Amino acid sequence: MTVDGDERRLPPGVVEDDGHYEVDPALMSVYPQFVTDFEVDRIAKGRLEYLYWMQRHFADRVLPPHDE
Amino acid sequence: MSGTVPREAVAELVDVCGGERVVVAPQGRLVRAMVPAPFPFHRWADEAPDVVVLPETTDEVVAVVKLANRLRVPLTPRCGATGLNDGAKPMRGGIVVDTKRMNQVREIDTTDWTVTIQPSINMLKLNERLQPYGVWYPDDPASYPVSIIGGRIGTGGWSLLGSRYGHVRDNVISMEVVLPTGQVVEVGQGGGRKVRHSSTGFRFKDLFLGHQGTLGIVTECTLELYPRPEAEFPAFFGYESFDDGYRAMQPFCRSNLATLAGVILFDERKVAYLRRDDEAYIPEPASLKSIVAVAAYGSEGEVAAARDRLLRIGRETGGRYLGEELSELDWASRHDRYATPLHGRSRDRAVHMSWHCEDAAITYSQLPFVKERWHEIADRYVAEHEIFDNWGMFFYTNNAYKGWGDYLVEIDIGVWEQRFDEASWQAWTRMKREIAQVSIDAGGSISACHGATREGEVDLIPVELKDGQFDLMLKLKRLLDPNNVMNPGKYLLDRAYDEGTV
Repeated sequence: MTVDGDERRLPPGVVEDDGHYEVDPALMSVYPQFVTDFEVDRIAKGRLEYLYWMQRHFADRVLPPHDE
Repeated sequence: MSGTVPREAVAELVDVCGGERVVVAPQGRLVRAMVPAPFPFHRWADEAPDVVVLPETTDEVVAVVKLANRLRVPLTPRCGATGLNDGAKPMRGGIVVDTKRMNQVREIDTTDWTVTIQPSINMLKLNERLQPYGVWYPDDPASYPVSIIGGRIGTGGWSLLGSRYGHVRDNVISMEVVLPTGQVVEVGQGGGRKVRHSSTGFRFKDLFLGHQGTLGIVTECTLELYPRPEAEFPAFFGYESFDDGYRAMQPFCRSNLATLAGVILFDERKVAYLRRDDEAYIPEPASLKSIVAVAAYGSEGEVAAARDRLLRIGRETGGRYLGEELSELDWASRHDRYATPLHGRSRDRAVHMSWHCEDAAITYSQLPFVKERWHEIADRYVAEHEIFDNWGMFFYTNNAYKGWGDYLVEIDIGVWEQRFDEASWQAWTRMKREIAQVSIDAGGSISACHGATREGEVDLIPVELKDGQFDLMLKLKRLLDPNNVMNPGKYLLDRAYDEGTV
């Protein structure tokens, strides 16, 4: 893709296809891929944050399985 | 593109809605040919509408519908298009009426406890608006954060919490509907827009719950409100066989707990599938083959009492409580299955598959029969076609305000959509037809949730709706839509216009 005649540099792992940006399909053809501990931790925390946020849509609190 | 919309009609649509809300560009039309369920990409270009219009008011919808009826142009209503059937997908090109800009809250009535909205607001967003008032609209599909109330009405959707709070058809009180001729009608439980029960006249409301966009366009609706739950208690129990889990369903479902909102049974194939997914969970012993999940909602005192009884039932039925963290978080993930990672395998190779699920309504006594037959069918097609993968089955409580009776039976099939060609698409529709036939053979219904409009299963609609029911559908279709402009081709309703049929 060019802007004002200059070639725009795409981030690693991103390709342009017919005017649309997407993750390089080649990166998704290898399984399993190496994922750092930091990335695993970040994904897990993000998922937990999302699930607790979702839960709060449905009730003020979740009761534990025993009396506190 | 079918070429069914004359150029002067597009100009007239621009006069009605303005040029910014009339879309003729290919990307805007093509995306509105799709639904999230497996899609015949190889036919994509043939299935796009000719023009998309985005009205904001009832008057604009009336003008568009009258135009379509006058010119005999096919018209398909579309909301969020997140459904796992294809009610929102045009079959004859023409005009798609995308209602997503009709998303205003008209009234929050904290005296009579109703909320009146335009159709295209989402449940999560609506509940954010309702929360300051301490009230709640409890419709909870697996697409809770993304689906739209108008679409929920069009499909007559099912709710995960239906055993406590009812389903869509129980919580829509009344609707304003634009009929295929452009006439505007108010349908509800009688005359009053906020009346919940009446014995005056016919009950027209139900006609527009699950019509898949074939009878009109909902432009406003009044919904039921409930007190926001103070507390919830979810619990997951593991069992060492499917039969143990199946037997445990009954004591849970008949526990006489008014706060019990839903019960889910996972079969052994589903547990095995979930073990592929270390994000969505299951750090439990390999000996567990089946899971029963339950959840109660309500006041804190009631839910605390329900918790004690549910834990006792779990113990007495041989279940192993799977822990607080798993129970709480996995139940939370049930509200948004569209965000759950998918784990497709083709001949043991990981591939990117999309998700399809069948959703029959089956009585408790027939669940083992349906489970066995559906797995036989799915496994046969998986063996023959590398683009399919069997992801196991769920069984959910399906009866409104009570947990017994019939269950939503779901088999999830992974589909390697990019590999579809006409031969594999035909195999797919044959598989769906065989699965639907089993549901009918078991005395059930093809669909508890999505509607039964897709290729394959739709062929069996006259078989399920026998004894004059399908004939009555045809008569009503022709009465309300004399020129067959509203979502034509859907649900085999074209037969209403065959000479001698009606």
